[in-house]
Amino acid sequence: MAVLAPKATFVAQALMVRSPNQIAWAKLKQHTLAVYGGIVLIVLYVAAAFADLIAPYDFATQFRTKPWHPPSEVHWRHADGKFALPFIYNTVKVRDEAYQAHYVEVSPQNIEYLKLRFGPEFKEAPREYRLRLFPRGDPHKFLGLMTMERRLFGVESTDALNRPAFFLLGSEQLGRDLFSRLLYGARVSLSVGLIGVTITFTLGMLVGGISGYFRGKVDVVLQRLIEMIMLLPGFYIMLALRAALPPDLGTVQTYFAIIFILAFVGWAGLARTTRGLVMSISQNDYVTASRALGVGSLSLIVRHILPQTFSYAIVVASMAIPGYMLGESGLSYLGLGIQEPYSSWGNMLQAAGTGNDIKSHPWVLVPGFMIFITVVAFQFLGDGLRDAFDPKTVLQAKKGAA
Amino acid sequence: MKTYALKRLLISIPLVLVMTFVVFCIINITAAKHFASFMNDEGADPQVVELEVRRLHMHEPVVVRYLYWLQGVLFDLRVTQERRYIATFEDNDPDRGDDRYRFGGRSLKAPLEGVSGSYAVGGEVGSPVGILGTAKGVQTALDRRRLQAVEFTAAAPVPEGLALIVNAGSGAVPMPFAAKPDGTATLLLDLDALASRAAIDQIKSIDIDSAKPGTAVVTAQSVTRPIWQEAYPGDQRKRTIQITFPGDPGHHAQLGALKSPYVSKIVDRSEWTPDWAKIDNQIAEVHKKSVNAWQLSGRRGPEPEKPKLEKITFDRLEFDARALDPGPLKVEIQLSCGDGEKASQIRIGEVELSAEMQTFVLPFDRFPKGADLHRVTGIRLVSGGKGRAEFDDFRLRVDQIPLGCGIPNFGESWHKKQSVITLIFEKVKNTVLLTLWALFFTWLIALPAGVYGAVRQYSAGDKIVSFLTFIGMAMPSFFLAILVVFLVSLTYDIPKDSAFGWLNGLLPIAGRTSQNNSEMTTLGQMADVARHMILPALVAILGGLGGLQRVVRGTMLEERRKLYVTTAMAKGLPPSRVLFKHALRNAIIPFVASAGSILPALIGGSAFIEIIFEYPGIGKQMYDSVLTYDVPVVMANTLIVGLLLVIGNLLADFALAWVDPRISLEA
Repeated sequence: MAVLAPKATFVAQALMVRSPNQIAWAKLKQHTLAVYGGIVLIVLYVAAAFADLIAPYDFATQFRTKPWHPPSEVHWRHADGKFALPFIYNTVKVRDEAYQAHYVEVSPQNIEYLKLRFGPEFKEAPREYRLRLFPRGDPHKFLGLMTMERRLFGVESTDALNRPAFFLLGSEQLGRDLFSRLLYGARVSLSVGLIGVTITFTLGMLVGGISGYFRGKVDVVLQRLIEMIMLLPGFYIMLALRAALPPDLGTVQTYFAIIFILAFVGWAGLARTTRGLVMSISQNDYVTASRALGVGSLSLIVRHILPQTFSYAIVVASMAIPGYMLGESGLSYLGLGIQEPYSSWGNMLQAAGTGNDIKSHPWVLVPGFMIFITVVAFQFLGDGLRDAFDPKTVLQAKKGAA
Repeated sequence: MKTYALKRLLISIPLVLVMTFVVFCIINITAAKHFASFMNDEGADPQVVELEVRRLHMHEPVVVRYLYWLQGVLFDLRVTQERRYIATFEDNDPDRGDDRYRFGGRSLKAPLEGVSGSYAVGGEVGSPVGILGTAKGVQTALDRRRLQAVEFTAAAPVPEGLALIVNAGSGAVPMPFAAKPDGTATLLLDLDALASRAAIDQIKSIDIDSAKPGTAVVTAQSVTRPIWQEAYPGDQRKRTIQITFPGDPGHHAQLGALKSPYVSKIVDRSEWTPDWAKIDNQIAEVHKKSVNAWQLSGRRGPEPEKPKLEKITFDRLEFDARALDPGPLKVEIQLSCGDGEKASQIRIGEVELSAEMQTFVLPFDRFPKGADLHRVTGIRLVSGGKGRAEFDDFRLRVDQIPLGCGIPNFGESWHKKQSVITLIFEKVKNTVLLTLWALFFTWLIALPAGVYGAVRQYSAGDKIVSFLTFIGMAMPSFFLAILVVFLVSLTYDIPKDSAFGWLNGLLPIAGRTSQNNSEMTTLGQMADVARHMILPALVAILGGLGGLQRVVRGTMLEERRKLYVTTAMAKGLPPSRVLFKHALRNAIIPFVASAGSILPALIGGSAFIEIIFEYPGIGKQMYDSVLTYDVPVVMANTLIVGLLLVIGNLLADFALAWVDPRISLEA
């Protein structure tokens, strides 16, 4: 930097005072797609963290009279046409001649039809259930700390036989709220990637670092090991590993088993690239200098060499997380991952069994689109991070600055 | 080049072996437990389970079991595909008048007796067949899957109003006997018909009742059904009906055929209807030949590939055997050679079986001269005396060739009771076919799309293509498959006579062939298979396309910026020539290099696709067998997938060396 010619522009001078990380951050902020990806991810992760509060119902709360309920219709006007705060009507399941079920709102317009349809025993009167902020709902432990009854939004209803419910995205087979299950499922689906990548990284970078630093026999042995793991057909190993675990495993165990399986399959590729990087970094003079100063091998690898590869590692991490998500959702989709009644985006997609199922209740596809959105967001962010840490890309000057 | 290939393959061998060992250990962690429970589900008695455990070496440590498996794959050449036969040399007591056919497996312990009075329907615990016994009040479910009907015959004189009272659940169903011209009366207790009238699973007992007092002599005879007929529709599980009946002295048990894996007749499931008259004829026919045990095996589909024996000369015949009853039993081993009229029996030795399981070796050099051993069609066992024997694993062995040739022995599927090789051969073919087509089209589309994206960077077309590839990359393959199934299922709602009616049923969403595939012409069959492959291949292509297109586009862009391209342009070469001749040549290298990595991804990724589209490939097979802890199938699949990957990577390396002259494989 010091040898820069005095004719360097303002931009170059501005660059001089920034650390590499600051430059990367500035570059990242210029990458529009990456910024959007990051925002989407922040929203998703916050929603997952506060799932207890945001979800109107618990993931296991069933509305037995309302299976496959379409998204609830929110009304803004009373029956007489006057403006009102948002409310919903209760619904009743009605079967037509073809025995197809559909839901009819218990509203003033429909009450005549319902009385005709069900006869005199239909007693329910039309009633507006107002959508409230912080209504009383299923009790939950907010952030795992304090028991709360309030949820962010929803309707308050009594424990009647045909209890009214507010389904933002519809309900599934057992009458459980899809939106709530989506939020609770997000906890599994979104965290699997983070934890899995952490494990992969510890293992992959350590093995790659040792292999690249020591070279020789250690390197040969570790490389053969890595080659073997890379040769393993991932999906098959996932299946075999999952089969080796008892089928009646608890949810938490299953969750960590899945992460372990995915990390086991995934660490080898990272180890191999890290090895290459470490090999070139350990040629540097400062490594020789540290060694001369008597720094131990492990401490040299962990404290001096590996940090140099972190920027690369962060990029690979953001690119690798979707792989874990897809792996988890795939296993859960096949019924080998998270088990009912707990939800994950993968096992929620099991409801989308056949084309006809989807036709009659298309909202079961929402978890699939959530996976898609998250993966795209990670890809955009990864793209941005790669460009940001790439010394070849140039930080564009702000308009008017130069 | 050759040395490089050899070196690569040599390195791969230990890798593949270690990989199979890892999978073997993993799958075996719980498989043993499930094996026992699986055997119990099948209703086998503990003795049989014990025998199976011993036969499959389940009591040995994992490493030993793995070595056994490896031995089977590398060194074991089996010629019969059905590997286990039990010969019964049973001397029936003629005084007992036991001239009924007896159906079922080996634990038929209670013979039917003609008695008047009360029958109880029950079964021996753990017996594979529901047996009519004489014990009263035994409350066991009548195994309707195995038995079709029970025929009761009353000897003359028949008392008036003779009827069976089936006591089932809380009620009783009376069933009158029908009088025959000869004065006897019969009643066919059709279990299907009965099921519609009584809770057949809750039959407590069957009473015989008549309107007037008297004595009735009633005999019963059970009629089995081909049990795959209804119990497991579409199941390819091999079904065996073993029909045992008395024969002349010098009983034979036809044990196995070398050329044809099935003993007597291969019955196609589709043509197999329970034509009992036909079976009776066959029984009579076999009876004439005084054969004691006769086996009918049913299997769906065409006869599997026969192992090619002609070119191999064997050195010895090995088998394990023991006598089931105490006391020694002499059994003569004969080989049947040739078919039809030219068939001849060659006596190759006599063994004395004891109660201990022993391995017998019959060296071929002691065989009579002139025996045409290349045309061996079967092994026959002949016993002069009575007794029961158990034979296991007839093996033809070669001394000179250390590696087995022909078909490696992957063992027998635990779940489907079928040799693994017949089970997965078709599946491997299907997966390879699907993967190759998907790979071909992925390349065919990705290359031009990538070049286009680079040449017309940031144009509307480039943006659209980029968007589509992004979707392909970000969409989980199973979700993409679900969406495709959904979209195609929408076409099934289009009325046939409308403008787009031809869309209806154009693309099948499951399976590999249509129901009536076997009736089509060869060309029609090919078209049918291709039609079924479109959707799975489409999803696989969409999944693999994105990454590849990005690679081509990226490298092509990079090459375009290089100085030699500028130079070529400056020289006045036409841009198309510069791009396609100079730049593309270099840009294609990483593309070819990625071929090696796309193959495992395609094979692994196609598993989801196969499962969702019910395409019978190894992915689906693997999924099914992992769920049922079918160790032999899982192992065979793992080995084959590993080999496919090794070969695929090697081919990719060759392609890379071919495309890039800078890369030398000699190094």
